[in-house]
This record gives sequence, C-alpha cells and structure tokens, in this order.
Amino acid sequence: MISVENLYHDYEGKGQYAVNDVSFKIKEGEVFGFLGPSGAGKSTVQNIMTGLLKLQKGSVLYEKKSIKEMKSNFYNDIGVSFEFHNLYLKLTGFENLKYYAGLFDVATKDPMELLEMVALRESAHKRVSDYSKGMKQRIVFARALINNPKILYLDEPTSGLDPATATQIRQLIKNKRDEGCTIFLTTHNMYSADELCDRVAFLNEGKIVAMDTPRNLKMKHGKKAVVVEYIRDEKIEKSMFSLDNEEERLKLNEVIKKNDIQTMHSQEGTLEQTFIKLTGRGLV
Amino acid sequence: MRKLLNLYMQDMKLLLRYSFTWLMLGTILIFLAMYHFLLVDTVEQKQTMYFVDDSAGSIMEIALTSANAEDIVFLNSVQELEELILERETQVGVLFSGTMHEPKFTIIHGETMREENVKLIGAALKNTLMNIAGVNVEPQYTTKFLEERAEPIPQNKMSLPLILTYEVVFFSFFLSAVFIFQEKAEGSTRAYRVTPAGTALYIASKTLVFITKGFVYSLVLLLLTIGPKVNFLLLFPVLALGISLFSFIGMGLATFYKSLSEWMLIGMAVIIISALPIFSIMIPTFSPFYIEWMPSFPVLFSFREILFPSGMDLSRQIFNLIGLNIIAYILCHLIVSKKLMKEGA
Repeated sequence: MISVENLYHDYEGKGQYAVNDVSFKIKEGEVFGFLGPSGAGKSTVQNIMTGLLKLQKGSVLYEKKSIKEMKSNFYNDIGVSFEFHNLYLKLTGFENLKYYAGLFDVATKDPMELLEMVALRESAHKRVSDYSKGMKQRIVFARALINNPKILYLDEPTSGLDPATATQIRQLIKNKRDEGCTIFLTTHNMYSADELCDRVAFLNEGKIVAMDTPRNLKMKHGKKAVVVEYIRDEKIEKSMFSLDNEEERLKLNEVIKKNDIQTMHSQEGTLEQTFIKLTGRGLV
Repeated sequence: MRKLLNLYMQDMKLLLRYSFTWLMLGTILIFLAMYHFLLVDTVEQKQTMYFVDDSAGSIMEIALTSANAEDIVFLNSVQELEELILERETQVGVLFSGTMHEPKFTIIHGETMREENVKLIGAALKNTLMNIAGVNVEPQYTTKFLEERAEPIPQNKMSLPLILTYEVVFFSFFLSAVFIFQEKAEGSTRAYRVTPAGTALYIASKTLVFITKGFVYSLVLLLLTIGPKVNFLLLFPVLALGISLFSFIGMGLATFYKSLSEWMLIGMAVIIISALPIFSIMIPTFSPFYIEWMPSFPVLFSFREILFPSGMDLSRQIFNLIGLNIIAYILCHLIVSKKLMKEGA
C-alpha cells in the first residue's frame, strides 16, 4: 500500500542527511512502528510521507502513486496526530473538532462522539487552554480520526501521558487497527510499539538498522533462556537456564519439580534491549 | 463555499476572543466621545488688533473709528502696546506715525505670526490710508471657479478619512500578523496543512474576517458621526479592497518571521511608511510619485472623496486598488504556500 524507497533528506543542503537511504513497505491494515531516539529522523520521514516536507530524493508511493503527484484530496484519506498539540487554545475542545471537521470533503465523525470516545465529553465546552497535557493529547488523537482516515500517522501518541491515559490511547489505536486502518506509528516508547505494531523498523541517525516483527527482533537478538526464582532450604535462589542446552533444560525441569517456584521469566529480551544491542545507544 | 464559511466562523470566533480586538473597538468609543464632547465643527480664532496712532491729529484713529472698523482697540502709548503684545503673542499691534503723505506703519506681533498675515495687514492698512485720501481702491480682480466648489469639511470630521485608513492599514496589517504568529505559536497551522483546505481558503477566511470587522467598525463610526448620508455602497467596496490589500501584505510579510517581536521592526516600518500619504492630505501640493504609488494613497484619497465628495472621479484610485490587490494576492499566495504550508521548504 505504502512504499518508501531510498529516501534521503538534507535540511541544510550541506550533505548532512537527517534521513539516509530509508526504505520500507507498509501493507494495508498493518501497524508499522518507526522506532528510534529523539533526532533519529522519525518525524522527518513522517513529514515527507504526509507531504509536509518536500521530497528531495527517493520515492514515497501510495498505491504506486508518488506523494509528489498527490492533490489536496489526498488529505481526505489520512489522519495525522502530531507529537505537539497544535490546537487552537482559545477555542473549546468541541470547536476545535467541529471546525477541523469542516475542512474535509468527506463525511466526518460527530465531534461529540469523538470527544466521548476519548473521555472528554464533559470538557467539550471548556477552552483548550484549560486542558491538561493528557487531555490535549487525547483531543489531538481524536482530531486525527475525524475524517475516518484509511491511513493514520501517529507521532508519539503516548508521549508524556500518565499510564492510565496511555493505556486508553493504546486501546483506541488497537480499535482502529481492528477496523482495518493502516497505522504508521512513530515512537520511542518500545512498550507501545511492542504491544501495538505488526512490524517495526529501528531508526538510528537517519538509517534503518533493523526491521521485522517485534517478536522476531526480540528472539533474534535476545537470549533463549529462562530465569527462575525458587525457595531452597528456606532461602530464595535465582538461576538462569539456557534453552538451547539439553543439560540445562533438564536442570530446569529438576528445579521446577523439586522446589517452590517464585518467579519464572523468559530472556528473549525487550525491544529496547534489542535496540541498544544494535545501535549502542538508548532510546531517549 | 462550505469550507470557507466554516473557516470564516472559526477565525471570527478567534478574533472575538482576542482581547486586543475589544481594545481596538474601544478606540471608536474614545473617538466618538472626543467627537461629540471635545471637537467642534469650526474653530473661530478671534484676533484683535491693538492700534496706537502717534501721528499729528490722530488721522488714522479718526478714520478707522468713523469707518466702524471691528476688533480694533486703540491704545495711548507705544509702551502700553508692546507690553500687551508681549503678553498676548497671538494678537497684532500696529503703530502709525508720520503724515498722510509720508505714512509709516510698524506692525508688532508675536513669533508665531505667519509672513502672509503680516502682508495682509499691511495691505489692509494701505487700503484704509488710500480711502482716507479719497483714492478708489475697489478690487480690480474677479475669481472664477472651474469646478463646483465642495462644501468645506467641518473641522471635527477632518480626521475621519485618516481614522478609516488607519483601520484599514494598521488594523488589518497588524491583525494578519497577529493571527499568523498566534497560529505559529500554537502550531495550529501544522494541523491545517494536513487537511485538503489549502492556501487560498486560509488567506480568504482571514481576509473576510478582517473585512467584516472593518465594516462594523466603519458603520458604527460613520453613522454616529456623519450619519446615514455617507455613500456606503461606494465606501464598502473601497474599504474591502483596502483591507484585503493590507491583509495580503500583512500575511505575506508575517510568514517570513517567527514571532511578533521579530516582526515588530519591519511591521512598524511598513505602517509608518504607509502613513506618509497623510502629508498629501494635509499639504495638497505635496504628492510626489513615490507617495502616490504607495498602497495607502488610493485608500486614503478614496475615503476622503467618499466621505466629503468634491466631484473627483474615483475610478483611477479604485482601479489602482484592484490592481494592487491582484499583485498582493498572488505574492501572498505564493509566499504562504511555500513558507507556511510546507516545512523546511
């Protein structure tokens, strides 16, 4: 559905690429995670894909049609949620959605329904300047859905949110995924990516360093082992057993049979550990 | 049309929620209060002439008294005259000495008196003297007006074209910048970019909002000053052309700057330069080509002609405004598309 090939972007034209030979494909209905630390080039790629930034080199194709050829009606089919809130602070939440809806040529959702969906119905007629950060994040997310987009671009949708609000937003993203919406998720939150994405690409210093399903990445770069905590002789013991080694697998069975198991964790690693392993740097 | 109306409603709400909008509209109340309670239709400045006749037989004093000359006060000594003029600098003193055959007038006045007035007094005194001598001094000239003379503009209404021009030039130019910078600060322009609405609607809705505000402002101002006899059918199109012209200039220029404080220097320079045609209103002989080519010139002169008709043909000024609007819109559209609707372009 979306094909990005050999994408480059140089902001200052001095040969310092913020995006350097980036290529990937996104299938219809897929949730594609674009992961990397701040400054890795994630938002630049999203901005080129949404036509906000001029395409300098490479190609971005939607159903084989270049972003360069897209007319303004292209925006009827996409929804974009920005990391920064970009709302009219002097308008109410309802007014922000109502006027935004009026800019599209396609049927739009009822602003009040969207506000209900993101639990802002009671604050619908409050000015956005009086909203908390979480409330603003939710309304920006709601705004991205107003035109029933086929493709949803979400830039750090859970950034800086309290756990409850972040969970709520993730659930809404899952709902859109279940409805068949194609989602391009830009984040440095590996937990969100792991939970939501069908595939992820790791972006570091403008280049893709790895791309696969979260499971495959974790399996490929993590340890195939189990850490077990158990009680023996009234003391808590902790041991790691490799699952590749037959002798250790037998030991693990022995421990499970003979002891009171407290905890047991597989060691396939997290996406964050995988990222650190591949790039030598953290995600923030 | 639906999208334009929607955007217009949004921008109108935003305008009404900015506190400076109410501050600006409050200026009408201040002006109206001044107009009705402080300014008067005509200002008559009564000037008295103080006269000392130092000639033998006081021939001039006798002649002026018998001619019932108004506003002349006769004094007894030169010292008294000088002391009085020192005290009342706007008044005029005349000392007459010598004889009918060798008259000598000394005009005594404060520093503020214009040379033309001094000469007028001199000529009047000469006429009086010739009348005494029995010489006919009836004027030998006639005045012919090629065009019908316009009604003199009442003093308290003189500032109305200037106020309207400032409403157009200053407010719409300034408001365009305020809207752009507010949206840049909030980031709402970014959200607008990912909709199919486009640049033309963005510019049009803001311009229409400023025109609406201009209409309301002008209607209130003019109905409560000149009254309903103003030719609103001609005024409103000119007002709309003026406001749209300065809105396009304002939006185009503001796009190059990040904040109102960065813009302030160039913005104020544009406003000050745009105010230069005011000198041409004050000094009609002063209208060099560089003033006439300023966008504010046709606006100012059209307003004056519409409010105080003198029979001047406005079609040239209106065509100028239409031409300037077309150029300004094209430039504004290009700049806003390239610089505001794209990032890093």
